[in-house]
Amino acid sequence: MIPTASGRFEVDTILALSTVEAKTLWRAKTPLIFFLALPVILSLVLGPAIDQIQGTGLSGRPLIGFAVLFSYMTANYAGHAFYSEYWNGTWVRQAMLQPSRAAYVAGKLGPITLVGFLQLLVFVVVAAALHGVPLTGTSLMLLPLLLMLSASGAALGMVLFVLTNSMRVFSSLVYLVLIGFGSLGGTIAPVSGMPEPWRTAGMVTPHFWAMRGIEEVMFGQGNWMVVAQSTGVVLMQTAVLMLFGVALLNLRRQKLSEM
Amino acid sequence: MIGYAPQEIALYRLLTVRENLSVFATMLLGRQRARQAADKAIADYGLESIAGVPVFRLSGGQRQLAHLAASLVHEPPIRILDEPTNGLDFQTRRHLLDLISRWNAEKIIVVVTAHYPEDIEDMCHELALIHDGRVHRIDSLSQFVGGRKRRLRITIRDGNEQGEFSAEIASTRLNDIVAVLGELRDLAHEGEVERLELSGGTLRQILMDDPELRIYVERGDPHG
Repeated sequence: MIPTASGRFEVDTILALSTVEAKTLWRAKTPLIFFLALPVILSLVLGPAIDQIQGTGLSGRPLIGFAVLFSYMTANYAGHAFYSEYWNGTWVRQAMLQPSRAAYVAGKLGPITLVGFLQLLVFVVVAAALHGVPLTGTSLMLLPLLLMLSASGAALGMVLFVLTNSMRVFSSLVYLVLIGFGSLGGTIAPVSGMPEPWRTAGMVTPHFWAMRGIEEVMFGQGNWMVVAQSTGVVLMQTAVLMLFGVALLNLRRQKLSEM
Repeated sequence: MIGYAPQEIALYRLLTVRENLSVFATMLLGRQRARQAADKAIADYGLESIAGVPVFRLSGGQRQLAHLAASLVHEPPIRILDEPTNGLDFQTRRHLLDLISRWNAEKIIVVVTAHYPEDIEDMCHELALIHDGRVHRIDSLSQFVGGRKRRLRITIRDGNEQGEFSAEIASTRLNDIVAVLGELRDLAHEGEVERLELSGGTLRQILMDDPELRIYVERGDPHG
C-alpha cells in the first residue's frame, strides 16, 4: 500500500514540505524585493510627503505602514506555495500520499510565515533605531502580534487558494486584498483621517489591529492592554481563516497548472 | 507498497535532483531513512553527475530519469510506470530498459502503460487487453505476438538480375521455420541479399491492422 501520512509521517511531512518552501523562497529571490526592497523604496520616496500631509509628527510611521502593507505578501507567497504543486506536477504525488491536511498546511505555510514575521521585526527595529522612536517595556509584546499578522496573511492566502482554480485568478484577488486591506487598515494613511464608513470597515482587517498595537508601543503610551487586545483580535482572525482553509483544502482537487 | 510514476514530470523545479529525492524519501520513508534512500536512488539511476543540478536546468531525458527515481525512491515491490519513455533520448531509453530488466530479475512487478508498441515489446512479458474498463485478455507477449502469421521477404541481386523470395511463417516452432528457410536453396546461390524483411509479427503491425484490437476483444474471454 502507498503509505498514508500518520504518526511519524506527520513530522516528516512538515519537515519535507517546509524544506521545499524555504529553498524555493530563497532561490526565487522575488520575496526579497516585495518584503524588503519595496517598503524601503516607498517609505523613502513617499514617506516625507505622507508625514507632511498628515502632520502627525510621527516620523517613521510611513516606514512601519509600508512594512505592514507588504508583510501581507505572505498571502501571495502562500498561494505560490500551494499552486507550485500544480506548476511542478507534484500535486499528483501529494494526492496519492494524502498527508494530513494539518501537516501539509504547516509545512507549506511555516517558512513564509517566518519570512513575514522577520520582515516586520526588521522594519520595526529599524524604524525605532533610525527615527529615534523610544521602545517601551511592552515592546516584547509586539512579537506575538507581528507573528499573528504574518500568519493571518498566510492563512488568507490559503483561503484564496482553496476558493480559486488558477493562479491567474488567485493573483488578481490577492492584490485586491493586499491593497484593499492595507488601505482600509491604515497602513498608507491613518484610519483616523478616513470618512466614517471606511473607518468602520477598516476594523475588519488585521492591518488595523496590527497598526494599532505597533503605534501604541512605538508612538503611544505603551499600554500593554491595547497591544494584547490587538494581538487577540488578529489571533482570532487567523484562527478563523486557518480553520476555514484547512476544512476546504482538498489535495485531490485538480487545478490549472499555468503559472 | 506501490510506486507510481505519473506521465507528467513531478519534481520541484527550483530544487536539485538530490533535494527532490530527499523530500519524497522523507515523506515516504521518514527522515531517518531518507538520506540513504536518496543516495541509493542516485546510484541506481545513474544520476551522480546531475545530483546537484536544479531540475529546471536538466534535459528532458534527465528529468524523466530523476522523475522515475523520485517516484520509486522507496523501492516498492510493485511499480506502475505511465508512459516512461516520453521524451527520452536513445541512451536514456536504453538505461531505462536495463533498469526494468534488472527489476524483472529481482522479481519486482512492473506495470507499464505505453502508446508505443515497441516500448511494450521491450519492457513487458505479459500483456493485458483492457477495453471499456474490463480486462478481456491476458497473454504472454510472445504468445500474443508469436501466434500471428509473419511474412519473410528476401530480395537478392545477382548482377543486373533481381530475385525475390517470399514465404509465410505461421509457426513459432524452430523446425517449421528452418523448413521454410530451406526453400531458399531453390534460389541462386550467387548474389547479394539486397533486402531482408520480416513483417506482420510485431505488436506495431498488429495494432496498425486492428488499432482497437477488436478481434481480441470480441473473441477473448473476459477476466473481470
